[in-house]
Amino acid sequence: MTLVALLILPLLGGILAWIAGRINASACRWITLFTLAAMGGCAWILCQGLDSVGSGRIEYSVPWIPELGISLALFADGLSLPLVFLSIAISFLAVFVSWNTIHERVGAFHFNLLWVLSGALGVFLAADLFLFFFFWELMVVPMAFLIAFWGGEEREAAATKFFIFTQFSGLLMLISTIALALANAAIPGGELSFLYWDLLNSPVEGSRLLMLGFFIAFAVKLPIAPFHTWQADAYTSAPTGATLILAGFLSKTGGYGLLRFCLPLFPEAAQAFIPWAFAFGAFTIIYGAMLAYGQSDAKRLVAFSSLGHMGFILVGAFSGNVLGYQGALIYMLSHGLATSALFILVDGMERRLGHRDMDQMGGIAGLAPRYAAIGMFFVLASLGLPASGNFVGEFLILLGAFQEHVILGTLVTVGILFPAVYSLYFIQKVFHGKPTSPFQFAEMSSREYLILAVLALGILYLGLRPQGVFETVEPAIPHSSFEVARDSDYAFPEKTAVRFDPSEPSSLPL
Amino acid sequence: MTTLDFQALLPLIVLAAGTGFLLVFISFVRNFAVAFGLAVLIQLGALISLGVAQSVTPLALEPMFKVDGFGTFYQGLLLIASLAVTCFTFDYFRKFDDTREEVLVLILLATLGAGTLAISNHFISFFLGLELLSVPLYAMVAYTYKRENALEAGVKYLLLAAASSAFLLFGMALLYAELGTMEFSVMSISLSAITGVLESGIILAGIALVLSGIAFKLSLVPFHWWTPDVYQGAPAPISAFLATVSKGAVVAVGLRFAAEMDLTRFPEVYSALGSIIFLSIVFGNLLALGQQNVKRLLAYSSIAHMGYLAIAFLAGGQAGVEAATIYLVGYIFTSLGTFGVLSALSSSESETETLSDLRGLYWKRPGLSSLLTLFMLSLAGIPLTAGFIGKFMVVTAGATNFDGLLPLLITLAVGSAIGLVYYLRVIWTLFQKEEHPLESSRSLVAVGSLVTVSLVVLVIGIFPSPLLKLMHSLSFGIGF
Repeated sequence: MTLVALLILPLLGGILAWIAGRINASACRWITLFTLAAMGGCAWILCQGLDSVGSGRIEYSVPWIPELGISLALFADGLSLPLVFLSIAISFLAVFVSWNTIHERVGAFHFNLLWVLSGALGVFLAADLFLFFFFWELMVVPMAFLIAFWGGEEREAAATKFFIFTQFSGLLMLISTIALALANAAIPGGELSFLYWDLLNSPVEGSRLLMLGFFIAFAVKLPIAPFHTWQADAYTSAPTGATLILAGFLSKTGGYGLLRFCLPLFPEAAQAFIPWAFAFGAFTIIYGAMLAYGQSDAKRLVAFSSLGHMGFILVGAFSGNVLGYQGALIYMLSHGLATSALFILVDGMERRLGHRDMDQMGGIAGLAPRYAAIGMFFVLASLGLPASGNFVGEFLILLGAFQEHVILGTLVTVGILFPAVYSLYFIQKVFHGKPTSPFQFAEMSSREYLILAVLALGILYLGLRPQGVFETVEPAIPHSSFEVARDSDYAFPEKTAVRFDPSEPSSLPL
Repeated sequence: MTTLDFQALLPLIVLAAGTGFLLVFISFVRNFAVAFGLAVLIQLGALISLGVAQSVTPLALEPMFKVDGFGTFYQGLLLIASLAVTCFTFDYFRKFDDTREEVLVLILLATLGAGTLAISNHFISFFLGLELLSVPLYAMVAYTYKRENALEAGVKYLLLAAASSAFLLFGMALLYAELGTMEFSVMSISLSAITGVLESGIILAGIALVLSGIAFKLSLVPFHWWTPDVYQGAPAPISAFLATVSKGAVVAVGLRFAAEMDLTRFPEVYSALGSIIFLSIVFGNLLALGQQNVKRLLAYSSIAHMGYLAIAFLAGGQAGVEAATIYLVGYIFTSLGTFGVLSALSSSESETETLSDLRGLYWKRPGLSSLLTLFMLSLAGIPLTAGFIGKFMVVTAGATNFDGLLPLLITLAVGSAIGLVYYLRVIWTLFQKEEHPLESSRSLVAVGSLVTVSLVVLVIGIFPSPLLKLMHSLSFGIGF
């Protein structure tokens, strides 16, 4: 029931916030915060419950459309729960960031915010593929509304583009899902069911084609180049609160989908796809970095840097071993925090300066040294310097990729260099040097301090003690499906190889 | 006529008798509100008598009709749709400065034709029902003849529908000449002897002509030319009638005709239908993109929707017919809602039909705007709405023949993606920050019927189980 509460709470809270928003804007914000806190409590209860159940997952299931074998089946395990926490945490930030910036239709804004969250949690918790698709599509609507009604320039076009990309790729996934379920039902003794467990490891002809349907949906959501063209527009046009949601946890639904569905459902097809996935990943990393370097709009630069990082998640997910799996998860978590921090910083600059044009910035370190220092911390964390969660993630992903495919793994490793270029360029251009024309720049406010300190602690925790996440996710890793796909002569790296040693030489980049 | 026959035909009898009574009544008492109440009562009576008809199904009324679960389900659906349309006319025609009551009689008459089509099992009843449906529609389309476009739309519909009826008749004649019968079930027996390729050119031509007559009514490409002009010119509630009752009835008879004879087993028919579907989805969506007029936009989108629906039919079998019907249910209620909102914003003097008429409507009429948003999302097939369940069923039916229909399923995905552009444009327009000049208020009838329709769209979208159960309990199917 806690699982259901986790989905129902934001739906009800959203409606309540909307009603309250008609009367009092801050009442509506507090209702949203209380809802989020209650959801955090629910997630905490689930986390505690997870230790006590032997199966490593908490399940809930009631029939929904029995005629079609569809049930309202939810489950939480070590993979979904960290992402649930991430989503709730980012939503908190989104509310705080919007506190002073959203003044119009406040109620509706928080309604949409909570409904996006509900949709994303539904995606993370669904155990029925129909339900998964249901939430997958559902979360797009409030998100598009957030962009279209509260966004910046070109907002409607950006929202439409975002919607179309997701809808089209989602329909391909739907076709694959149904074909998979029907093929499963056609096996003697099988009946029509969309339940995850029933569809796992089903011998299906043409599974490569079906996997492609799933892959495209997830690749669009992450996004992966060349499916990314909606991303920069959506990220840039959205109000900062919504950008946090998009970059912070909505994109992670794609990574989750890869880990949860794409590989375990079609192990053989995924195995054959590994070189392609690595190539896509390497291309995304390098191409995203190049695009980021070419931007003069700070928000767009962060958006494209986020694109590049998605390449790592793809590579990690498809490396098909424990290292890559854990790396991808921790990278998703850390990237969610680091990118959110960057967007908040850019938002801070935009509010202080009234624009985001990096050509007109420069010398902020002299005007607001603490702002610049904190900014540098997050840029470097996002770049993946040791002690940040991004570092742990990248490291494990590359290790996993290297085991799988030496040449392409090397190529991905080379890709690591490129983000350094635009990161340093960003730091230099914005924080150092001399401004072309003098401007005022206020130092950090205490609210900004608070938000960014929490994010920094989260990133450092993931970087210095990733063990907690590894232990949580361990029971959820589908070893069996890896082994199906794997050449039998390969010795599987057991848990010992995964231990990340925090005593490794590393220093804070501050 | 036995008692059983009487029971089976009771809904149509109630409708026919009621129409006659109303016609006499309004020639003595000219009162729109009373006439409206009577029309609603007659339709409710027909709906209730469906229960009686249902208790004697399946019953073949040789040779004309076949009253079965499929037929009664469609009759119920069409009656509900026409009831909703009747409710939309109330506000729309209340201030009309010409004779107002006749539009109600015309609606009832056309609904009678639609009900006939739903249980038709014979070319005679097919043609009779179709004409009974079409002829009142000519008058209904041109009813507000002083408004620009209305007369043009009426004449256009008259000419093209008459031409398509001629095609249909010719096709029927050819099939009769070759097969010696006009009864669907008997024809199917004669046809079942033919396996593989259709060698008789006369039968092929007959089938092609009959199908093109059906395709004309469903406005599938390339028989779609009339649709945008007629939708635009007709009064909003009548456009609703065209989009729902008229199309639904033709879907019913088309499904029965084609499924009974299992036409899709002939490769010629299969590939022709496949191309028609492909063209309908692609052109319907592409042509809708540039529209500034919401009614024209909906006309083009209806072309695409009929294409989606036909995919389910092409997949064949019981599941295909069921999926097509569920899609149609979702589409009918969504269209009712969409045109209902437009009717509620319009009157016989001024139509609210262009996007600029809708700009910033949210600030004046948040309720109606939210409903229109819901209906647009349902047309786009977004979860929580009936449109989503329909699309899901169509894809499920299509995926049973995965290798054969994959190209069409991908066309569906592409079409839906294109469709989003214009559906979302309508939504964004509603919420733009501009003052909307609208001041008029709406009666309880319009608001009540719209709220009911939107609830149906939501309930089907969230709990489709009862609908599926209902169809199963009616042993829904055609001669399988």
